[in-house]
Amino acid sequence: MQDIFTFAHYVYSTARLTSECTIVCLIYVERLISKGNVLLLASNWRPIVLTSLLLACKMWNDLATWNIELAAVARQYTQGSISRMEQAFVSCLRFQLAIGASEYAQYFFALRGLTEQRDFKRRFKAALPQHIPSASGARTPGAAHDVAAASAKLESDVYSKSL
Amino acid sequence: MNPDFKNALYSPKLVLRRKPSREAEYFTSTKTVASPIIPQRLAYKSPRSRRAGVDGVLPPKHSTLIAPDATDMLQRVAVVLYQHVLRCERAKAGLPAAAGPRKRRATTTNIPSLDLPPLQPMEATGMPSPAFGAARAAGAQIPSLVMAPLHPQLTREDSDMAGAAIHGKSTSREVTSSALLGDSKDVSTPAVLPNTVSAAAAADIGIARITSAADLSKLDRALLFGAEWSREPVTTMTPTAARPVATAIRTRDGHQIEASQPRSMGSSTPRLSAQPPPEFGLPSAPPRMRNSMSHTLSPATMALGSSALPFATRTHTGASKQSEYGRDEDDESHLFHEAQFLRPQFDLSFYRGPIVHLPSFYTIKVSLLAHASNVPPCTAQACAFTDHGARILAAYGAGYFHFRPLRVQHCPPHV
Repeated sequence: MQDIFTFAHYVYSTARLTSECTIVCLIYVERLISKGNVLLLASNWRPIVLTSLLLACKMWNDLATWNIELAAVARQYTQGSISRMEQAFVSCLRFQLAIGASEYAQYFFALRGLTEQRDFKRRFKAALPQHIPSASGARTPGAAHDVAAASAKLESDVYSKSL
Repeated sequence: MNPDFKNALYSPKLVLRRKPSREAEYFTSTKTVASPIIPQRLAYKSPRSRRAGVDGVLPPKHSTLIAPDATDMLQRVAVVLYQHVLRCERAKAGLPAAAGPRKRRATTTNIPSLDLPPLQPMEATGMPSPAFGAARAAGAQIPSLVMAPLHPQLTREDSDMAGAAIHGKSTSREVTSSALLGDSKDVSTPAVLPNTVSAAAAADIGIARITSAADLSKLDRALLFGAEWSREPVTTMTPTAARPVATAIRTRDGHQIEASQPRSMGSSTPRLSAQPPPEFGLPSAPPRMRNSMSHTLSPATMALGSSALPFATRTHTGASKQSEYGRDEDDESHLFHEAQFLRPQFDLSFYRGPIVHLPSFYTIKVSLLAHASNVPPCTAQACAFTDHGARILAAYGAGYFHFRPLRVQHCPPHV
């Protein structure tokens, strides 16, 4: 659960997704399991979540994330791989990507209803990592913080001089 | 029509006798399970104890339904996905579900649990571990086997192939649809591929030469997800602020944009090799004005629109085109768009934002010039240009560019 949250949070924060994409992502994953008869396993949850986040962003946002941007975010997947994953995903869903307002609201309130479980907050906080890697790198300790600061400085230099 | 057939079509009993689908054994959607349900019989409440009207409670534009708390929702989504993974792993292994399929329960004030399994290691449950945290733990000690512990079916050969992919060798292991589906029977596309390295990605990262085990460890950790996954392995150079930055926009053929032919006026598509329009055609600029404007088109000129581009909108005599074509040609709002994106003379200094839309035939190169001159050109595939030293190669050919240093590549001396 830590890894799922860390991975999803990294993709979310780095690719600058919107918050609704998280719910739409879950809808797509559950559609893939139910309609596509795909098992969500420990070996394939990363590409499934990544592709569902990409599709959620593409379907939900007007200015969507491009595959090449996601390939830059998730470096172990090339742009072609992401495109093929996207193609396989939508094929399993039979291109049924439309989400009604009622379905979105159902999932939203269902996720909200998870709070009502006993000991949910305590168990979830116990499972969460202490430091969540963020895109800004403000809380990243050590060398990674230096690299993030250097990258930010480089970015500002490039903006100020070339653009 | 056979009456039995008619009954078979419309009888609700027959509909209910359908064979239950396989998904019901291990999967039930979250909206079915956790959606709050209003009980069919509401308990009577006196008017004094009833809740206030909804209009006085909910702020319409600040609802979390419209803008959910992303981190909170990601946590909840992670919980649900984790449960799905557990159940699907059990279904794949042929084991019965731990608590049976999830059932819908009515939401009351005392809501029962969603059967969250206790947070204990998977080894204690008697099933093969999905190795959520085992990969990171093993990778910290044996970097070359980082890929291996993610799946028990991985062999040493697979690890070697992954290592070869890291080193940029021609090992074509890319994520395919079967990997997405978790099909582990196909040897060429094992189910562990999502956690391994594709050849192209390895070629990208392989630009940084691997000289020691520490470098390999860095790359391995970079290819995994986790706290260490950052730009650390590839961001090895930190240019100083004093280094000049030069930009060059080239066409796909490699020509400078400024040196290319201007497109024909009135065309919505750029024609770099187009001939000048005929005299009787669309209005063109006088030669003196065109020469003076071709290299000095500034952002302010773009923003000014038609007044700054007289040759593009006016005839030689200065008359409006409305009389000639029967429509209002003075509406030149589209020229602003064209002047930004389609004119070959456009200036990058117009843009201050991080995102620039460009036609696909433009290649943008942003290179840092002041660098050690003794570095020979890098011949890696990802380095499409032959200048030396650190570089920022944003993207190519996609028509959509992020001017963030996505890959700051250090090219070591080429052997």
